[in-house]
Amino acid sequence: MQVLTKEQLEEKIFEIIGRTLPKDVDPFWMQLFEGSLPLDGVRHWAKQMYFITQEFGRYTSAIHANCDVFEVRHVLAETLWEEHGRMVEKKDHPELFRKFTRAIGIADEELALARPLPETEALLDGLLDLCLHRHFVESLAGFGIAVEGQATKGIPIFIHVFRHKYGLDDEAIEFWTTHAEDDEVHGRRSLEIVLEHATTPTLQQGVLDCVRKSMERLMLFHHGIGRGWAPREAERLSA
Amino acid sequence: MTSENQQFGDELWGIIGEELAHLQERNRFMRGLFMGELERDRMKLWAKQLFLLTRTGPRFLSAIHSNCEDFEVASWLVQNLYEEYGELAEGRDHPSLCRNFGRALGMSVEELEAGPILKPTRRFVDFCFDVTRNRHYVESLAGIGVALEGVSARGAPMVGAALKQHYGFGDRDVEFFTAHCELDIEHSEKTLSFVVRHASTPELRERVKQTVREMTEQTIEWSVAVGELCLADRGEPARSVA
Repeated sequence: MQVLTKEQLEEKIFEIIGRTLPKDVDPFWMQLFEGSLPLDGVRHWAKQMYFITQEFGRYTSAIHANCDVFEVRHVLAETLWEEHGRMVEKKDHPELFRKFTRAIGIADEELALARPLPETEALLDGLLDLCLHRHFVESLAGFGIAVEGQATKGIPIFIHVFRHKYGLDDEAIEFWTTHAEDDEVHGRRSLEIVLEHATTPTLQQGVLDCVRKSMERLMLFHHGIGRGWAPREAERLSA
Repeated sequence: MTSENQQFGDELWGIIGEELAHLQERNRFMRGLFMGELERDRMKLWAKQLFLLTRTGPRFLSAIHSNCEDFEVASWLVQNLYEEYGELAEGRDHPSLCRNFGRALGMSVEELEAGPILKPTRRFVDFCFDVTRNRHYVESLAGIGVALEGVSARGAPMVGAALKQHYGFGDRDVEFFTAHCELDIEHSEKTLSFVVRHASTPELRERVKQTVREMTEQTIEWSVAVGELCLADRGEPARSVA
């Protein structure tokens, strides 16, 4: 096997991401993007998103613990610092997310009692396994490029929809505005590190495999939220 | 702190104190250093081991973080990690401070970083990874944050003072040993308060005590074994240092 150039590797990564993305947007997500989803549906979505948001720090620290390149660890430490709100009280990402969930009518106690859907659990378990056990370059590809990188794509739409369709103020959507900036930087950092350090055919193949697996789990997670909402939506319509 | 928690905290310090009681008589290298009898060149191999441990240390913290389900403790670990990296200011991270010591010993950065990693250092690093990756986060926190960090925070300033007094090192040369020592002592006390609060069952408390005992023993074993190798000047072939 031949070593791919950085450009070739990047192209293959985005080819996999493009191939894994659904051709048609799931109806649930379409309603969310349009701002026509009932608030109860937004709450259902937010509860599942919170499970992922809560774990971002742990995924990053697991990659840091497995990383033998000081310069990369330095970057990951900065990412962790940002996830924890740069140690400013109530600015850590999970707390900012709870500010959002409170604004849409989910009390912290209700959020704490929420259960992950099977698809959410599969994504959570897959990411933890990836970050704890794979080479740091593979973990960064699967987590940083695929999941974190793709998660940021919808953020500008969310900011617009939450502000204009659901009437949320800047305070309530701070998670999304902060996240948009931080996660965009994190995703770009991950790509740069992966391209720089995936220097053998085996590692490059591992990178592509991890991007594919994470993307599949992410898409399943997205689909699962819609699937989990369908019976409640049917019940709501028949009532 | 409740009296029960206070008692548990005292028990942990007691375990460390008991293990440390015989350190000076066993550790010929450190005894020589404190008496001003060590040749400077003997310190080179020792500095290389310190560099490796310092460079690897933040990975132990992040390994604990990756197993930690309590957000307040996780934030505390990130705060510690941030400080290990010199609050992300260039040249202020702990490995950079260790490089200053290496330079003062007459080593280039390349020489310091080239190792060799001695077997006791490799064993100790493996042990710390085993603890932080595989044990409950409260046990790991006690092992790294109370035993390892608490002991080194108290010992390092004494080493710094001896290096200045007997060997003519300047403030900047020994900053690695003297910087943050007061802060580090505060840190280990705060870490201890987390440990006693989160070790909420008798069974977990027993495991915490066991980890503190093992970590202190391993730290001493490492220090004594490396000291002997430095005195005998028996390095191993150079390996890359992570």
